[in-house]
Amino acid sequence: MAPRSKSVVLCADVGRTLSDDQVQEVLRIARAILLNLVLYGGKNDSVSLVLFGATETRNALHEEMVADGQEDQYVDIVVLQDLTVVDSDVLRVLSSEEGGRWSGGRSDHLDVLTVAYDILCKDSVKAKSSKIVMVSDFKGEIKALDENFVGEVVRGIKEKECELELVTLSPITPHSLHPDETKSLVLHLRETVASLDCASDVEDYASLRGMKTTNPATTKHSFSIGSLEIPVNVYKKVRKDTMSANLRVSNYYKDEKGQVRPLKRETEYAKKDDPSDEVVTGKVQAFPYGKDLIPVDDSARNYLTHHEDKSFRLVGFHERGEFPRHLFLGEASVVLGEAKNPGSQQAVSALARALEEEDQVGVVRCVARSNSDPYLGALLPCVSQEKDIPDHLVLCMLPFAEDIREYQFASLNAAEKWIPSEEELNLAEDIIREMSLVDDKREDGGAIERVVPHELANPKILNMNEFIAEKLSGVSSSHMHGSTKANYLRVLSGPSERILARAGPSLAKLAQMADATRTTTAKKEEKVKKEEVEMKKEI
Amino acid sequence: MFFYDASVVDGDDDDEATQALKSAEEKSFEAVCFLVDVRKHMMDQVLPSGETCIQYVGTCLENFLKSRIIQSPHDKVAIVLYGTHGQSNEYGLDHVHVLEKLGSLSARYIRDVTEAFQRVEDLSYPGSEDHRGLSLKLALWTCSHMLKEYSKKDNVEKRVFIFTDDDDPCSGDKVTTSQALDRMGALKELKVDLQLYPLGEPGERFSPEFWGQVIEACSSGDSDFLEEMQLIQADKFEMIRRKINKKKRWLKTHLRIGDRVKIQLEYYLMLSKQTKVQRAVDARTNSLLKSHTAYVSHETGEVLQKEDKILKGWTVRGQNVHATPLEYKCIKDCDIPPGFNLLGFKPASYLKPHQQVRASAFVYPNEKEHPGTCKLFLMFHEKMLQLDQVAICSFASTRTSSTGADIVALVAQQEAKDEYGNQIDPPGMWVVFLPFADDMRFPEEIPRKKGEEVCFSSEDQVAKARELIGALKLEGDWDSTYVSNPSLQRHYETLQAIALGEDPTKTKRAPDETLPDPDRFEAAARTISRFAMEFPEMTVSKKRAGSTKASAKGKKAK
Repeated sequence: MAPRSKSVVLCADVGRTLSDDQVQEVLRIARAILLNLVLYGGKNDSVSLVLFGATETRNALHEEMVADGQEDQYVDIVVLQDLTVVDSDVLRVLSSEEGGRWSGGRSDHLDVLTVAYDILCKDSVKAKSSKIVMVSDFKGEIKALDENFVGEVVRGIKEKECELELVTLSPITPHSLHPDETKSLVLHLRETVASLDCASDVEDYASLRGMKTTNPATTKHSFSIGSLEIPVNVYKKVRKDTMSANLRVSNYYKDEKGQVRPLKRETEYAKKDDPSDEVVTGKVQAFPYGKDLIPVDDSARNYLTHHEDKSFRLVGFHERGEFPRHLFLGEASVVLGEAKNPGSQQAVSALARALEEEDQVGVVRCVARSNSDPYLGALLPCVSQEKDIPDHLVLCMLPFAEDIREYQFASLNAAEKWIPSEEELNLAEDIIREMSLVDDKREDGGAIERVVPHELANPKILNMNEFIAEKLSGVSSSHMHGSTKANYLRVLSGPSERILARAGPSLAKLAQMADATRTTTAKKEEKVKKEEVEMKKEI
Repeated sequence: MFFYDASVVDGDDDDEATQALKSAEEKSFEAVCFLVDVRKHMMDQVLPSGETCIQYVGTCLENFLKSRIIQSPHDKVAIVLYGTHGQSNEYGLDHVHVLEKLGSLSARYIRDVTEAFQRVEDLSYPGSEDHRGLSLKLALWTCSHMLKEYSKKDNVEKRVFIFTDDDDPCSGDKVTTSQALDRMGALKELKVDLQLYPLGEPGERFSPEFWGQVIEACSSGDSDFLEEMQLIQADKFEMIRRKINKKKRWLKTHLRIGDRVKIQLEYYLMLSKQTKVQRAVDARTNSLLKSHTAYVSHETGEVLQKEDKILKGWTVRGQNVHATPLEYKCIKDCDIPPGFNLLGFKPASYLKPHQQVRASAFVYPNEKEHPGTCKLFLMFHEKMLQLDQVAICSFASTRTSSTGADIVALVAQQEAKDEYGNQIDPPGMWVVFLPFADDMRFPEEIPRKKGEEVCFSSEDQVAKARELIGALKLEGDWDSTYVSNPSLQRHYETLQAIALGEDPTKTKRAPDETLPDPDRFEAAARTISRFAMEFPEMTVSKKRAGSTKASAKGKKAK
C-alpha cells in the first residue's frame, strides 16, 4: 500500500445542544473540509468521518468497552467512515439527509477526541502527518475532567505530532456562556496542543475551509547594502488566484455518440490582410516601431534582452509619505531573514524597526531571476507583535515613468453648484459613521472588523468548487452548499442588514437629496433613454 | 496532452482594458507640422551648446521623431522650411520648402528627415532676411492646407511648432504683419495649436510683441521670456521613449449606496505595467499575421467546427467532470450586481500595504452625462478625506460577467497642483483591488508552524540601523515615476537601431537610473560597516554570494 501523506479524522457535532440550523452549519463546515481534501488534497491522503452527539453509537472503542462490560463509554459517537483514501464518494457520505438523521444525542468532547485519536493510532498505514478536526458548538455538558486522563490525551497527541483543530460556532472565552467543564477543556487544549477557530468571526467560515491553501514559494536573495550582504528569503505574499490556477481546466467535446472526448488547442497563423486565411507556417517574432514591424532574429533578440544576474540591492531610503499605496503595482512579497541564521534575522529586524521608528521606506532594485527585467520596489517595515513571528519587510513593486498615465481632470469644486452644503456634508458624515465596518467592541476592548477581504473566499472559485462537488457526488449543490452562495451574495451585494438598520434613515435622506439634485435635464435625458429602450424592446 | 490557457479560461480585466484603450488610441492621433526658419541667421548663430540654431533644431526634430514613434505611432508629421532661396511645394509658393509632407512615422521617414536635414544649410542664402514676413506667411498657408483635411476631425489633434530666432519677422511692416497674423488666426480657427520655440542665447532679448498676438504662451513680459519659453519647450523635445496613452475612459460605472442611490462614475486606468509588445509576422514577406485557434480532437485529429460546443472539464481523483458552455458561464458569473456596491467604511489605517492584487484604477464623477453626480461624489469625497476613511465595495465590471467580482477599497485623493498651477494629483478616488482569502500567503508564519526560533534585534542594532537610514537617504524629490525602465529603454534603443539600419552593438545606451548611486554608498561606507559589525553571527552562503550557475555559464559562453 502506498504511504499516506496525511490522515485526517473529521469530527462533527450533531448533538442536542445544536439547533437544526446549527447542525446544518456544522455539516456545511465538515463538507467544505471534505471537499477541500477531495479537490486539493494529496493523492494518498486519507480521511475518517465521525459524528458525535448522535442518536446511535458505532465506534471501535465503545465496542471494546462493551466487551469489558462498560456499556456507557464512548456512546453517541458514530464513525461514519473509517480511515480510507480520499475519493469523491466521501462527498456523498455527508449529504444533508444523512447528517440530519443522526442528530439529537449527547456525547463528551474528550471521548470524541479519544475515539479520533484511537482511529489514527490503529491505522495500519503510517501517514506523514495526521490531523483531528473537531467542529462543535462546545455547549454540551461533559463529565468532570480527570486531569490525568486529559494530560494523557494531550501527551499522546503531542507525541504523535498530530495537529488538533477545534472549530467553534461562537467565541469561547473565559466569560462566554459555555458549560464550565467544556470551556475548561477547550481552553486547556488551546493552551497545550490545539488551535481554536471561531466560525462566527468571519463572514462565511465554511467557504474559507473549502479554498485551496498554497504554500508560499521562496526566492533566495542576498540583500546588498553597499558592501554588506544580508541573506534573505523573498516570498510572494499576495498573488491573484484564478480558477485554472486552482484546478486545471481542459477542453472536451461530445462526439456523435454522445461520448465526451478530449480536445487540444492549436494556434494557426494566417496573413491579416489575406481573406483566404491560408495558413502560414514560417513566422518570426517582430516588434512594432511606428507603423513598421521589425522582425527580430536570435542574434538581435540577444541585444533586445536585458542581461543581468539575480540581485536585490538597496538604492536608498525615503519618506514613507512619498509612497501612497495606490502607486504600488500589486502582488506584494515578504522579505524575511534567512531561517536558522540569527544574524540575518536580526539585521532584517533592526532595519524594520528603524524604518518604522523613522517613518521611512527602503527603495530596492530587484532582479528576481537571472536575465529578468529589473524593477524598483518599496520595502515597508512590518514589526511583529508576536514572539514566534519575525519582524519582516513587505516588498511592493513601484511604477516606472513608462507605467504612469498622466490624465488631467477638472477640479471637483470648479462649479458652485457642485459644492455640497454643510447639511449635505453632515449627512455624508452620518452615513460614513453609521456604515462603519469597524464598530462593536470585543470583550478584550479591541474593535471588530467586518468584511475583511482576506477572510472572504473568491466567489468565482467557490462556484467552481461547488459545481465540481455537485457533479462528483450527485447531490444537488443547492442541497449541499446553497447557503454558501447565499452567504457570499449577502456579504458582497450590499451593506449588511445590521448596517442598513443603523444607516437606513440617513440613506433615505440621501436618496431624497439625490433625487432633488438631479436636474430637469437629467430627468429628461433619462426619460428619452427609457423610451429608446422600450422602443428597442418592442422592435 | 493536456492543454489549458489561463487567460482564455478566466478572462483578464487588464487585457480587456488594454485592448479597449488601444483601439481607442488607434482612432485618435496628432498631425504635427514643424515650421523651421532657415534664414542665414539661423545658420550662423551659435548656441551655448556649441551647435548652430539650425543644428539644434535638427537634434530636437530627431529626438521628437524617435520618441514620438514609440509614444504615439499613429501620428503624422510634416517638415516645412521657410526663408529658402528656391521653393519646393505643390502650391508653387516662394521661399517655402516642404522637406517632408504630412506622413506617418516610420523608420524610413525618420532616416529620410534626418538625412535631408543635414543638407538644409544648402537651402539658405543671404537674401532671406529681405522677405522674412512673406515667407512666414506662405509657410503658414502651406501648413493650413496640409492640416485642412483634419479640420473637422475631433479625433485628430493638430499642432504647428515654429522654430525661429526672429522676434520680429515682419520688421514692423503693418501689411505683412496683418497678413501673417491673419494666417495664424485662420490656423487657430482650424483648431490648430500654435507653439513657438524661440531660439537664441539665454538672457538675450526676444520680444514677445509679434508672436504674443496669437500665441497665448507668449503673452508674458519680455524679461527672461526667451529662457522661460525655451524651458517650457525643451521638455517636449527630450528623448523620452515611452508610450503615451491618451486619456480614455475604460468604462462607465456607478457606486451604489444602499438600494436607491447611485453615483455615476467614469473608470480610468492610470497605472499599467508597460510591456514590450510582440507581433508575429510572415518570415518571407514580413506581413502581419493573425492567429486563430483550432480545437483538434486528441484521438482522431479531426478539427472541430465553430458550431461545435466545447465543454470545459476537470479531472478530480480520476473522475472527469464536464461543464457545458452555459454551466461554465454560470460558474464564472458571481451574481454580484454590476458596478461598485458599497458595503461600508473603514479607517484608512486598516488597509495594509500588501493588500493589493493589481494596479489601482481611478474613478471620477460622470457629471457630463449625469448632472448632479459631482455634488453627491464630492460629499463623500470630502468627508472620507476629513475622517480618513475608505469605502469598502464589491465590484463587478459591467463589461462581461466572466471577470467575476472583486473586493475593492475606494481611497479619496485630494487634488494637488504645483507652483505653476499644473495638476499633479487629480481629484477623485483610487480603486485599490484587495485580495480575497485565496490570494493570500502567510510566509511570515512559517517559523511558527515549523517551531523555529525567531531572533529579534537589540536596541543597539536598531540604533545602528537608524544611522544607516540617515546616511543613505535619497534626494527629497526622488520619485520612481521619474525613473525610466532600463530594460524597456534598452529594448527601444536596440529596436530603433535595427529599424534605422544602424549597428545595434554601437547604440548609445541611456544611463540606468535604477542603479544605486556609488557616491552615496561610498560616503556611507563607514556607517554601513558599523551596521554590519552588529551582526557577527550572520553567515552568507557561497551560493547566495556568487552568481547563479546559469549566469556563470552565460558569462563563460561570452
